[in-house]
Amino acid sequence: MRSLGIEDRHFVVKAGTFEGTPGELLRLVMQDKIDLASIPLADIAKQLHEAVEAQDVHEIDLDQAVDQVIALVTLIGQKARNLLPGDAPYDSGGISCEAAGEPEESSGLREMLLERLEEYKEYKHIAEELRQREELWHKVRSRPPVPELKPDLPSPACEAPDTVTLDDLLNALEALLKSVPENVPVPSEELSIQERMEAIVSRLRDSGRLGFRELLSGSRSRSEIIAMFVALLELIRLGRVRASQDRHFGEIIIAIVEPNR
Amino acid sequence: MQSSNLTDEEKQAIVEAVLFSLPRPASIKEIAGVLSVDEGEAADILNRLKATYDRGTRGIQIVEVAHGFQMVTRPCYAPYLEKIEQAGRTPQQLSRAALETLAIIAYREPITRAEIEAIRGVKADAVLATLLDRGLIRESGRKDSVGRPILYSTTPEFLRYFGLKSLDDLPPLQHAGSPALRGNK
Repeated sequence: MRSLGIEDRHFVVKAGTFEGTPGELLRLVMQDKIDLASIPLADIAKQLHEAVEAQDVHEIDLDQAVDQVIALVTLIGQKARNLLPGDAPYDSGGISCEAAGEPEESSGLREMLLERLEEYKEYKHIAEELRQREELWHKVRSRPPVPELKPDLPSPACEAPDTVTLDDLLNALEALLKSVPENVPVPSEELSIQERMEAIVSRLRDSGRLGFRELLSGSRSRSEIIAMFVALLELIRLGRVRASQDRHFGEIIIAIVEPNR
Repeated sequence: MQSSNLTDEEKQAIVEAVLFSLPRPASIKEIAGVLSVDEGEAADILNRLKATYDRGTRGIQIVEVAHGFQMVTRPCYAPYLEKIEQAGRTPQQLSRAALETLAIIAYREPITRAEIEAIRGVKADAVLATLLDRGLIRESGRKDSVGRPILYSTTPEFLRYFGLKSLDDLPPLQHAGSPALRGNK
């Protein structure tokens, strides 16, 4: 019985007394604990194929599956080489999994293969360490990078990485509306959406860019805010203004897009 | 270096303000420049400021990462931060293939795609595209061999992402591919 670590039980194959994953089989062969010549690899391949097929497409651990296929392919390559004349004979005990790359008298293909495998195993080990670090550092927050605000850039609102989505805008609108009392007398002056658009543009011309709140909170009633919001959406759609956000939870900034610049 | 009239406390306060305001690690050299002191003194001030954050229970700490110092939250408070953050703020974990590829690049950089594939035994283009996209690696030139293949290296973002001071923070490899190639950045 071997401790199986992270090997996945879904990929178990059987051959004679061996029962385990191709990865485990490869390890035992490398340690000379199993004679590769006695293992029917075609049968193992068939079993692995069936094991993979039997698993749910959505649940299969692809990393594991690929590892097992690589292990099998390595075994097949090794067995093929062993059958070729002139290759260095099996020297048992020369190489263990821990201390490979020590004495190498007969550096045949097997050694080369082993060395590559050892090297890869080390990188896998480092990858595990990186995984742990990643987990820890995902729990750490720092000031997020501030993207350069380029209000002059005539790029459409939906392309820049710091661009605000419609959802963000709607959330901001909702938050704003919450702060406005519901029953305020309807303003006497009714402006069309077109006029409101012009009003927004002229305000932005003066100041370059304004916060979303600042832009809309001049409105006195909910209906007026919503009308301004519609005008703002239209301006964004036309590419005349651009909404951006310099950080998470940051205020949405509305900037004017000047043509021909 | 001009000698400055600032008291030690004031210098620490300045460094604190700098670290708080910067969205990236500040190098010792930068701190020295801000304070007009030599780098030895800058390092000393940084370390003493760091120590004040490590005393007692603070939500913020100063860490040494990516060749500099940065103010970050303590990981143990992450569950509380998550309560107030927008969902999906934490970046997605890297796949194992991506981590393995990064490990290889970190020890062997600059390295070509073919060299990575020789070690991992599988195609690397998709993984490399992901890593480039996330800013963890960059194209660092072309190898002087047939076809002049692109060379890849890790970025400062790689160090920051994994909380490494420098590539030397990674454990030494016991086997092949000695990290001797490091440091020629």
